Amino acid sequence: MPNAYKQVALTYLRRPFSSWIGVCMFIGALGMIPMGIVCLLEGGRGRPPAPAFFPVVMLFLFLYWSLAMHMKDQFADSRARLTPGFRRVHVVVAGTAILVCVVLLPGVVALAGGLRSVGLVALSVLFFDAVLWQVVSNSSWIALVLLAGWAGAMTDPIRAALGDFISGKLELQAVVLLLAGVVIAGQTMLRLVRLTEDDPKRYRRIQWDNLGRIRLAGHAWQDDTSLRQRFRNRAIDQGLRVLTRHALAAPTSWWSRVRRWPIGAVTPLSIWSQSLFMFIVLQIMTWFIPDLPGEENEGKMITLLPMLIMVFLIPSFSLFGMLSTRRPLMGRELLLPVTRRDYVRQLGGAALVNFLQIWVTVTVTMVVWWLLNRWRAPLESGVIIHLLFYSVVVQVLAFGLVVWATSLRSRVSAYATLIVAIAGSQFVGMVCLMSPQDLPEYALPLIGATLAVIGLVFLWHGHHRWLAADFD
Amino acid sequence: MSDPAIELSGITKCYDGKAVLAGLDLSVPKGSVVGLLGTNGAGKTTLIKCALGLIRPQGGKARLLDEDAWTLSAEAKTRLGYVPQVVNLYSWMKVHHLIDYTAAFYPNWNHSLVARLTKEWAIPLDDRVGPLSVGQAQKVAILLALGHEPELLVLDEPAASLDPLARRQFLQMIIDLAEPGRRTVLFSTHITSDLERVADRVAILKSGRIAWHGLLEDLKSQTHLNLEESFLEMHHAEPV
Amino acid sequence: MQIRVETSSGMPITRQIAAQIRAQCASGVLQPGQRLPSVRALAAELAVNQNTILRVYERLTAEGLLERRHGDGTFVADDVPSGQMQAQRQVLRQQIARTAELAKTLGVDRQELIELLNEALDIPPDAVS
Repeated sequence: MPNAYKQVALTYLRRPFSSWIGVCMFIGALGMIPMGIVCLLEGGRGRPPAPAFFPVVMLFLFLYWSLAMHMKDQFADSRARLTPGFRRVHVVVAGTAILVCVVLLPGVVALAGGLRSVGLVALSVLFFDAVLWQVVSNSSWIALVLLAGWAGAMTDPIRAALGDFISGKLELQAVVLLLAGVVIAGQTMLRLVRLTEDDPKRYRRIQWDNLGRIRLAGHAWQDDTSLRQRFRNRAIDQGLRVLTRHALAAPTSWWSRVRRWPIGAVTPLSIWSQSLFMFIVLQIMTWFIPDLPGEENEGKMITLLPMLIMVFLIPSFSLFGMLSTRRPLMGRELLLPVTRRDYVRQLGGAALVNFLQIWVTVTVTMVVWWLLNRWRAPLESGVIIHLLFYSVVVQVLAFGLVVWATSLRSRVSAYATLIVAIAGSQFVGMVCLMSPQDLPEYALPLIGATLAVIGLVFLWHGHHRWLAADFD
Repeated sequence: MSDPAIELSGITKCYDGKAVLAGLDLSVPKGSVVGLLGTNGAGKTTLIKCALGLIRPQGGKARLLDEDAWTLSAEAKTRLGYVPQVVNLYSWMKVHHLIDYTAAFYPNWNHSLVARLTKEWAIPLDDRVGPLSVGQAQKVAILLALGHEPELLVLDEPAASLDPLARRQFLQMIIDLAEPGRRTVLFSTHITSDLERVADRVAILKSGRIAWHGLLEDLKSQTHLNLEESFLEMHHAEPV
Repeated sequence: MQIRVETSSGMPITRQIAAQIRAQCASGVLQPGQRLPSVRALAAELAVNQNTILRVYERLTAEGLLERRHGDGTFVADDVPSGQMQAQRQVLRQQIARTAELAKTLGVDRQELIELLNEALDIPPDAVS
């Protein structure tokens, strides 16, 4: 059987190199190790690590997630039960991979960074546990926990606590947590290995094929009878009823024609849940802030503004995801009695309506939140107005980009463009809004107008691409 | 009379409160080629999965190669081959890597057989599995199940996506493989013409149980109809 | 071997193949002592299950038409049993009946038919095709 171990190990090594995104990530990971060491060294003992440590954390997150997905792929298949010696070989190799990536790697980074405690390793084990649990159980509330954790880690008190933990001031707790983490990891792996098709919710997994299309493998979600799924089903049925009503009515106006094409926030419930979620996240953020005294106003801006800017960007760009999953259906829809030009325009109109819905929801939520928390997180009303102006501009940019990006055949390039756009516009936003007094009078409107014009250019170009696109 | 290759007794399996299999009995003798026939949704896949120990029935016993299906030994697994209906291969792997990976687990892997079949079926070894067409992916899956020359081969709708040439090659392969008395093949299908050629026994699944099981020629002698017509009559439909 | 298998017919394949082998023996296509293809080869040729061919051979062997020589294969029996002679005569009778039917359809009268038959009888046997 020695060949079997070699072959399984090869699957771990070959996978990153099978796509250029994997290669990029691999190179990024290699680069992040020295960067992580540098950040820790700069942070020094007793002080929280430099803020640049967080991208390192994100990269480790991606590494752990890839590892967990790879393991899930191997065990959530009939092959796992029917191939002789499968479990033993795969568990051994998986265990080795986990040891290297989750224990040794952070351990090396910690040692090289001058830390002499297991704190970092304990943290990474717990991190991995969360990711593995999420992947094995297909439950999404872990993602929420991680998101909350990330949001919290941006605030000073939590960062200080983390710094203490890593640098060895809480050594006993670190050891205990490490052991607990190892036990949890073992339990989760056991559950993974014992997975059968009788557990459709956990058995289901996402696969990407080489062309970047997502295939959902495993049982259909009709088999999922959990409360959450039933809730979702009710919301979907409701949305479908509304759609049917529109569809049956004669298309007399542009509005009713547009309303027939469903994209994104079909159900009123999803708009409400989106705004509620946003509100909760913002609120949790503010609860961490009161610890800072008055003269730390600047600090509040640093933590709040990126969140606020994200708040406008993320929902818009998530529409991209919905539009691109729709793409395979577009070929079929084009066969309906509608000309291509009308179809593209109406679909674009529907997307625009959805964008507006999302923007209104987000703006209202943000304004409500600000009104409620004005006394606690004083942002000058000037900043708020600038933020709103920025949000409008960024919606134009986002809409244009989304229209253009969904017309691209390769999802990978589309995602890459969007990530660059998000990062870029967030950077611009932060520069403009953090210190508006440093910039000349005309700078803000000029930058805003530029972003809007870029968005419109993309929109025009994307519209033309759509008119000539291949639907298949 | 040796033990049957697959023995299902009293299998009951429910989904969502609906009984897909209700007290099903099936005995597949060694060395026979059994075609499992049934409408879509009749439970063919469920039956196969219960027989292979992939899912656990609510009631009844499943035995495979003289062992309990749920706790198959590694030795029994080396004599078993399975091609699922929905082919799920590692889409990022190259075909020859996938073959090497699978071969590593079977001490009885026949490399020359795999090489011959690869050539005959024109399987692209250097391509990645993801972009393969459905038919090609199915061929690869069948190849992976044959490489260790299993005594028991179980296939779920194997020829559904194959073009006529590929289907003929596949049937030829099954015929070659199924030496009388040595190898057992169970395959589920709804293409009756395939079964007419290849199978010597037929099991018809209806309403959660096996409505008819026996030699195909006995069925024909009794009904004087071909398989498709018999099947339709069993379901009270008018043959066209 | 020139055998056609009709899978979509209501007649079991074993019976079809057996009938055709019998007919070939009766019509002389298969000579006594001639070796038949192996089970495996015939199954591959007809794209039919090997068990089916095996059953056909076994049945015909039981009837006495074929004989299995272990290690050598399956052969047409040297001494065709009396039942076979009857079968051969029956095949001939059926063939002549069909020819008579055809003649009637074409409007060929009895005299012309006898002439044609005489012509055919004069032709040496291996030139018949």
